Amino acid sequence: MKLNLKINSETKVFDIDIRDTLIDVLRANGYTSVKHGCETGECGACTVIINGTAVNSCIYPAIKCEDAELITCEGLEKDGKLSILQEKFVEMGAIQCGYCTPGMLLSAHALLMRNPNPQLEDVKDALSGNYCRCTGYVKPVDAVMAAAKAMKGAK
Amino acid sequence: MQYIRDLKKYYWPKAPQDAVRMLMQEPYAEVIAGGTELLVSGLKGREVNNLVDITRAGLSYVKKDKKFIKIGATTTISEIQNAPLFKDFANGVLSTAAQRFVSVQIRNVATIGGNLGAAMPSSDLAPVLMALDAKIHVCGKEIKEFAINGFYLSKRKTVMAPYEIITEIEIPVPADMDRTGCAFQKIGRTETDIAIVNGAAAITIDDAGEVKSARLALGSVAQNTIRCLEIENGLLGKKLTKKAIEAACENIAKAIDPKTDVRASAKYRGTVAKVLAARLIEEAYVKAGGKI
Repeated sequence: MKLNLKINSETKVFDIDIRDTLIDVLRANGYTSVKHGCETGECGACTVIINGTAVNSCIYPAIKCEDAELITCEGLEKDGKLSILQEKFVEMGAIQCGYCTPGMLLSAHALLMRNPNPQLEDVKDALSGNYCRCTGYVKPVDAVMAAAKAMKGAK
Repeated sequence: MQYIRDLKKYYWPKAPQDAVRMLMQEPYAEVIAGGTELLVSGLKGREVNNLVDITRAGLSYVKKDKKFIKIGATTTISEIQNAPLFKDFANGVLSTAAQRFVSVQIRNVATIGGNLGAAMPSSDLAPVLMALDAKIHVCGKEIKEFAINGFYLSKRKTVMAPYEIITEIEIPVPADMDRTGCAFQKIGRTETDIAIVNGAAAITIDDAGEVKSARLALGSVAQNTIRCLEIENGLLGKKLTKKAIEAACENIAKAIDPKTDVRASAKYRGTVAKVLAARLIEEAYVKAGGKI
């Protein structure tokens, strides 16, 4: 069956099986920033943004995305230039192996879309569904706070 | 990975009655909302050929009038957490419980009706709704209304028939709001982990500071969320002190039936339940305006 949706501002039609989870459809169509992790909605490696909110794509039926607007990590950079949020992750050492990073970025991006002036507690809550097994959480949280500040300056 | 091997059709009913008709007509049909329970552990080997998705059936809303707050069944946990109405209502207990509900990603898709219908004893919302004396509206062959106290039969079991769906949760606005205090607390491995023990209390006092009404509900300490009626009765008509609260909670072991699982032993749960019950009563009493 066909699935019509908008992804990273592009209109797309994907061929899907009614039984597909969203993560499998995305990865099969080249959006490989979306990572398989726990497969049970706990680790957040598969996070994508659907209609403005962060969602675990591993436990989300692809069919639910008909007419939805999605953002994956591929959509954060513009013309080969990293977003401010991505730059801050690099700058502040918030990445080690990088496996959890796309999910963290999208959880943070969803927060900043909704709340451009987050408090520390808001950032911690926004990242609470993204597990990291190497860097830890202090640097990613710092990076999001720094990105919020830098984005305010950029406006 | 295919989340349901035998799935053949996916329906989007526009109204709850349509959903019920599809669930009654189609063999091996199952209702889905956010899907966070169904896709992880909800099927338990059952064959399902048809999914009936009720997230476009007009059941996502929060409304308030003088007497009731009404929450549509497919309202997400995030929507409850962020609704301005729940920041103030009943000392913000519903908002607080929603904020402690697993992760943002899950809160964004999981629904209040799904959480109650999944009937897990660790639900963070169920004790709050029990303390607030909520009613659950169910659509089947006819519309029915159940008090949440009595809605659960055991773990994963409710009074609903397989083809029935939850449509609305109705919370009465306490007549004596100024003298009512509410509390939600949860003990878990982390802030947002599935509860080892959770609970909620709502207490109304009179001018003299004596308890006029009390409701205490605990989760994760029995087959499902329970009201602790004996403890509630032990508080009525009293001005509360730490000693009085302790005395009321003394026989809590009779009310609960905790089990051992990966998160905690039955014995630990029993010990924690007693402490948590006392803390909940104290917090609700103080928030109602009582002095301890």
